[in-house]
Amino acid sequence: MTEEVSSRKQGYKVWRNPAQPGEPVDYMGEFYPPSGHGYFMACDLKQLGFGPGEYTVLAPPDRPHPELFSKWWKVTIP
Amino acid sequence: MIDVSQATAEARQWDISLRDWMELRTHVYGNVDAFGDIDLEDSADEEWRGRVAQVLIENNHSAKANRLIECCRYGVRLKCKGPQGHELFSPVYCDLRYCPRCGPRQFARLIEKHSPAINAVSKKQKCGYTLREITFTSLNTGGLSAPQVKKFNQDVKNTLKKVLRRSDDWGALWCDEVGFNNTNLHAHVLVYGPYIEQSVLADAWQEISGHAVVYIKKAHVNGPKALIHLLKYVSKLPADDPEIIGQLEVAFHKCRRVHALGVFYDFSGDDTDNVESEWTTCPHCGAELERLPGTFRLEKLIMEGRTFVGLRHPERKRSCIN
Repeated sequence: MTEEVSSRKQGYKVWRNPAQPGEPVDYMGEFYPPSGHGYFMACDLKQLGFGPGEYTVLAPPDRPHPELFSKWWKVTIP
Repeated sequence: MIDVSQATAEARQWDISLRDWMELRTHVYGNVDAFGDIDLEDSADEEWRGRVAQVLIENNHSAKANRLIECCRYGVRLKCKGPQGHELFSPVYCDLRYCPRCGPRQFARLIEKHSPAINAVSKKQKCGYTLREITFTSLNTGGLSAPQVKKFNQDVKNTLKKVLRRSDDWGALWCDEVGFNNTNLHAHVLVYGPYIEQSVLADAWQEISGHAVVYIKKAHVNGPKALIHLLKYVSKLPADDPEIIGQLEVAFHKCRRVHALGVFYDFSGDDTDNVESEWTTCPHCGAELERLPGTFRLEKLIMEGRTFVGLRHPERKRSCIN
């Protein structure tokens, strides 16, 4: 197994945050940053076809540079 | 409130742990309502505290302002010195007199501190002695300052000493109060002693303080209930206006709000709160605890999987309770 494949064993889980408080979160699935970085940016999500909105991303435990990139973060597509 | 079956099903469906499911909820909604009694919209409280803190900062009490803001929202990290290095946390409390969260805690401590004295005189009353309620009032000047509060308390003390100077074994406990949303300073006193003529008391109060109005009556309830009645306003906010709360906090800076005199002064010292709320050893292994620097949001500390160990006030002095 190459290093690239092993790093892709677990993807980044993405949820669309509700527009109104109290509404459920919408699980979008598991993705990999197309830019190849260890984190998602708004442009990555746009490239994957996500529309405007706020998203919560859960990074896998084996993400590169865990000391730099947190487990959770929010990405907003204007 | 969390629907456990829904939470478990979603966590399984999304292939994440239940802990990650709760973390997700916290990130999306700001908190997790685990027990169904959480106030989901607490930004109003944060805003209210911010406005009180602003008054404190303007009056050079920045440290107090910081404590008020962090109260029950932030905590400290603790680590045990044992071989396993257990990780724990303890919330921070501001212990300010007019904090809506700390007021009831102060009330409980005061009841604990002063109950033995009231119980003792209620059980074994000297001939002619009983518990009486006195109210000393002062002229509302439209403002309140620390020197004003200190003088008022000194006047109460001197008046009681004057009218009871020929008596032995009397005791008094009083609590400073203000009217709701105003600066009408007055004191409710629970006094144990012989009969005091209203006119004698009024004359002494007028002579010492310059204020005219004072009331005295036999306590309508006895024992612990009289104490609860006296101290109940410690647990209630005297204003809903954050500006007034801030000004009161400034006025009472370094001024005690509850005072004891005579046989009630330092009675028995049966205050167990200091001992019981003190966590100096690890609940897992008994090793000593070490406090790590900084304060952090409680949600973060919970998410780190730390054990809650309550208060840690090893250096708290009894005189701080007021």
